[in-house]
Amino acid sequence: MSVSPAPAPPLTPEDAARSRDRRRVHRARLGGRRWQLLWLLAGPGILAMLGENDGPSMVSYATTGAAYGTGFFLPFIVLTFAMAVVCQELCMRVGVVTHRGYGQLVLERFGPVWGWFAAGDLLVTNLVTLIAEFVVIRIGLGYFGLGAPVAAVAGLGLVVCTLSGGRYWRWERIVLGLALFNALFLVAAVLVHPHWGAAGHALVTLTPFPGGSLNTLLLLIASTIGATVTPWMVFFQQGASADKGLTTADLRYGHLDTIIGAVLAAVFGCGVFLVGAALHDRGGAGLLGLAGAGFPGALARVSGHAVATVFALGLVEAGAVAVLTISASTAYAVGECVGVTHSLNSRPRQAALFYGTSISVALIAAGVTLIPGAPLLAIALNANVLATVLLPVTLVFVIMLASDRELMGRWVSSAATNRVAVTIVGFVSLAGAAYGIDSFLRAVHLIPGA
Amino acid sequence: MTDQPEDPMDPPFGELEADEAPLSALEPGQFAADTARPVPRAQLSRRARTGLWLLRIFTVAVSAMVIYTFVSELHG
Repeated sequence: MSVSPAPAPPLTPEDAARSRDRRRVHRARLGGRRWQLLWLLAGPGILAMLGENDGPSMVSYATTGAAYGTGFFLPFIVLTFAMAVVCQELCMRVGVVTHRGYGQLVLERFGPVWGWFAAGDLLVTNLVTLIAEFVVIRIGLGYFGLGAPVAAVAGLGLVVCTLSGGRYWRWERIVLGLALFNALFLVAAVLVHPHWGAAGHALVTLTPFPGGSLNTLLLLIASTIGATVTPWMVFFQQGASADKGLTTADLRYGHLDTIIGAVLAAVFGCGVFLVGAALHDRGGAGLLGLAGAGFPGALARVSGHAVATVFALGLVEAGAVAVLTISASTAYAVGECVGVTHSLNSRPRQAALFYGTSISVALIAAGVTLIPGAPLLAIALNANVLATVLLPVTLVFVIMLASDRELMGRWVSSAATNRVAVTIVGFVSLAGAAYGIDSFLRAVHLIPGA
Repeated sequence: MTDQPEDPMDPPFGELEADEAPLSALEPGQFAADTARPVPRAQLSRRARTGLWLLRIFTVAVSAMVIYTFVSELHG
């Protein structure tokens, strides 16, 4: 690493904090300590992936398992995480090379119209998803007899506590620690004694293919995609990679971080699917109407209180981690588009909008869940679908940024990666449109079945 | 953020050696002042601009359908 010959820019507390983190990385690299390097550099990828194993996603996986049993959707979950790796690797690469977040780059490179469209999409999907997270925390805590106010206060308190300190590293390590409890879903899966042979058969053959209602099938396909690849993950991982101070020398570890996150999230996601599948043969389809709210109780009746307790705790964890990561991604987006300080390494007084956005968006979402009679469960189940529908525009800009030679130089994405990414955009667009159009035509009675 | 390091191995900035100062630990272009400088605007072809607008209209239309369905199901 060389000293910059250019005149020194004015140092900010953000630079100082990031510099400390980078010094540890340099020491580990000079000492050839690879595991320590991985420990120091991992974070944004694992958090994006485990953050997306959030409340609505886990409810969606479990609902799909309960509706169709072990079959096509199990390998489909794995496939969607493979798609997520391609998309997240691209945005990580852009963040590392340019040291800038997604919102800032779209706004500066393609103009304010596209920048604000991107931020607008994110604000809508994040607010809906955050409401869903508080709903799921409430469902999890509800199993232990705790009400909505407790869920709202606990979620908000967590956001405020993790943001205090003005250090990205501290925030990341706390959220990483919490995110590891996503493994509770794997524990629940083991406890329900799933049919491992059927799971293996489904993973290899992608069968049995689900039958029944086409609209339900399209809904669950769109929902499963939205449970794995979403706009906030792009904003978050690119912003966090830049905020953490990753450089091109760290690209290999950034890639590894993304893959580790995807593998962990896929394993835990498949775990919750298998928990849902355990209900399939015992009235799973009938439980669909109770999706989310009914799961811990249904599991208690079918598999015992231990499974239900672990599952309910998992829901609380999934919702809590997502509240932290999604509120952070909203803050990155707003800070980047407005053009003010947007770093977890900055002091709250110097980045009032950044920290204020993170807390405000969580506050609004928590407030909505306290409104009596609000259709909370319906919002939770539709959050993933909305994310799927709005995702293609986000992904197209990621591909354009990653393949922009003027911006990326020698780190530009390969033609093969771009082809795979474009295929993913086509698939996501098709899945979202198929559900949207089919549902709309049924709703206006142009085709039967509404 | 305080100037005191979290890692006991890290001295406070005031006591850093020259080669350990923030300048040496961060890459050029990584400082907050550098990242606040805007990147140049891309020149999009007419075809690219049209494609982006078509995609935007497509997503807005499908989103409207999903939201309409959601609201009608709530009232149904």
